[in-house]
Amino acid sequence: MIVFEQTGFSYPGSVVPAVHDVSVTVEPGVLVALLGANGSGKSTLARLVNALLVPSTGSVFVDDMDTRDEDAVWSIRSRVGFIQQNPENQIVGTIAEEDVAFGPENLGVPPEEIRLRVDEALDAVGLAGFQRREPHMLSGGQKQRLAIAGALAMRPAYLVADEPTAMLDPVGRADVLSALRDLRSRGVGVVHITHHLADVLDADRVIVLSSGGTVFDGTPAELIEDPGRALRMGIELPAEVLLADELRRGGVSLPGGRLDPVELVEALWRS
Amino acid sequence: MALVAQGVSYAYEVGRPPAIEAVRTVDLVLEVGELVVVAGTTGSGKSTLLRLLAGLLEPSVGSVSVDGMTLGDSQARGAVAIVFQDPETQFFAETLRLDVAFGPRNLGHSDPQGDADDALAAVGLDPAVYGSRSPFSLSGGEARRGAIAGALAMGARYLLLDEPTAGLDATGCSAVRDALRAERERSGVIVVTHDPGEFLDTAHRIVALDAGRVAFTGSVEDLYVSPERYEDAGLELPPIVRTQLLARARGMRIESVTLDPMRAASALLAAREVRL
Repeated sequence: MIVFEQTGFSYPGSVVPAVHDVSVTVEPGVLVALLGANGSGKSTLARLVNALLVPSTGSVFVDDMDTRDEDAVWSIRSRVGFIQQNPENQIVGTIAEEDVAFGPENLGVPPEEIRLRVDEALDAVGLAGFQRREPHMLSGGQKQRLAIAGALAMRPAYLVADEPTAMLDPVGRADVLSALRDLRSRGVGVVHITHHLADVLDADRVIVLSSGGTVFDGTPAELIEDPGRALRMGIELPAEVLLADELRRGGVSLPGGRLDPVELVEALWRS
Repeated sequence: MALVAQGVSYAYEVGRPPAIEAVRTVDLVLEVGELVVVAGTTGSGKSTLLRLLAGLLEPSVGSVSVDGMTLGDSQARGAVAIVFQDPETQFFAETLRLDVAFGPRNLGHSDPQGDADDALAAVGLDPAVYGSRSPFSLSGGEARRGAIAGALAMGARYLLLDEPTAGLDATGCSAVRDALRAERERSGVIVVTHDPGEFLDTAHRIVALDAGRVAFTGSVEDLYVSPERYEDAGLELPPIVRTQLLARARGMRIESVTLDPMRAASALLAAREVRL
C-alpha cells in the first residue's frame, strides 16, 4: 500500500506549504484519481510517492518503507512507476524495445528476463509487434503507451501518471485511458492525476486537492451528486454530466453513472 | 487585409527519402475580426501549418502573404505573431510588464511599456495589479495570458496560437478563451488545437486537417450539419453536442446547438414536449 500520513510539504523559500495534512492510502489493483486546479498540489503529491520529494511534515510509506529512509529509495522507486505529461521527455531509446529495456537494465535484470519483460510490457499496452519501431515514428498516444510500457517493465506495484493525456488527441487519450485500466485489472495500484473529471469517471476513488489540502475523498458518483460543491473545489463537471443532471430534474428518468449521447437521447425519447 | 496561404505544402527531410510531407496544398484565408480553429490529431500537420503562416518555415510549394505583402517584406515585419505551446516557460524578466514590453522594445516602438499595459488589459490582467508582479509568481491561467499579452504587445494584426489552453484547469481555460474572444475583435486569430470542443462557441470557422490536407472547412453550423469528414479525421465533437445532433436526427426540434448544459437541457425538454 501507499500510505500518506498527515503529509505536508513546503518548497524551499516558500511560506505556504504546497501540500498539507494529506492522509490517503492507495491499494494495489485500485485506480485513484487525483483532481484539482493548477497549483492545488497534485504534482507535488505525485513526487512525494517515489521520494523525488520527501515530506516536510508527516510521512509517506510505500509498502511499509518510509520515503525518508535513504536506504529504501531505490527499492521504493522500483515499486512505483512514474509517467508524466509529455511523452517526448520520457523516451530514451532509439527503438521501442530499447526504450522499454532501459529501466530493467539499470536494475541489473538478466538479459533473458529483460527480453521477456519487454515483450510482456509492450503487449500489455497494446504495442505488441512494435519492438523495432523508432519512437519518433509513433503517434502521441503510442509514445505515451511506450512510456507506460517502460514503467511496467520494472514490474511496479504502483503507477503514478501525472496528466498522461494532457497532450494527446482523442484517439491517443482513449488508448492511454484504457491502458491504465488494464493495469488496474492486472493488480497495479494506479494514481491518475488530472484536471479532467471526464477522464476518471470510472475511478474507484476520487481525491480532490485544493490549496494543498484534501477537500474531497469519495467515489466519482458522490462527487457528481453536487455540481455546485464540485465547482467550488475547482472541479468543472463534464457538460454531459450536467446535462443529464438537468434532464433528470426536468422529469426524464435516467440511470445513474456516465451516459453516452446515444443512451441520453434514447432515454429522452422513451420518457 | 488578410493572412493568406495559397496551395501551401511543406516536406520535412527533403532529399532523405522518404521525405515526410507534413502539409499538402492547403489554402487558408484569415481576415482581421475572425477566429479560426485549426483542428487535427497529433501529426496532422497543424503545427507545421502554423509555422508556415508565421513565416518560420518556407513553403516547399505555394505561398503565404500578409495584407498583400510577402512575409519577408520589411513592411510586413511584426504583422504576424505566434504563441508556442507552454509559452510561459519563456518568461525571463523581473516583472510581467518588462517581460511583455520586450517585444515592442525590440521592434523599436515608441512606448513599449504603454504597449505592454494595453496588452495586459486586453487579456484581462489589470496592469496596475499584475504589471509589477514577477511573471514566475503567476497561476497557470494568468501566466498563459501574460505570455499571450507578450505577443499582442507587438501590435500584430494576426495572432497564431498553438494549443493555448493545454495543461490549464477549467478556470484558466475559460480566462484564455475570454481573452481570445475579445482579441478577435481587433485581430485575426488562429487557434491550433487537438481538442476544438471548447472553442466551438467562439470560432467563426473550423478547419480540420488530416494527414496534412484540409479534410473539412466551414462554419460551426456547417460542421454540425455534416460532421462525417471531421470525425473521419480522428476528431470528436463534445458529447453534449453529439447528444443534441442525435436528438435532431431523431426528428426532435433543436433550433441551435449549444455547449451550455442548462440551455441544451431546456431545448431538449421543450423538444420532448412538442413531440408528445
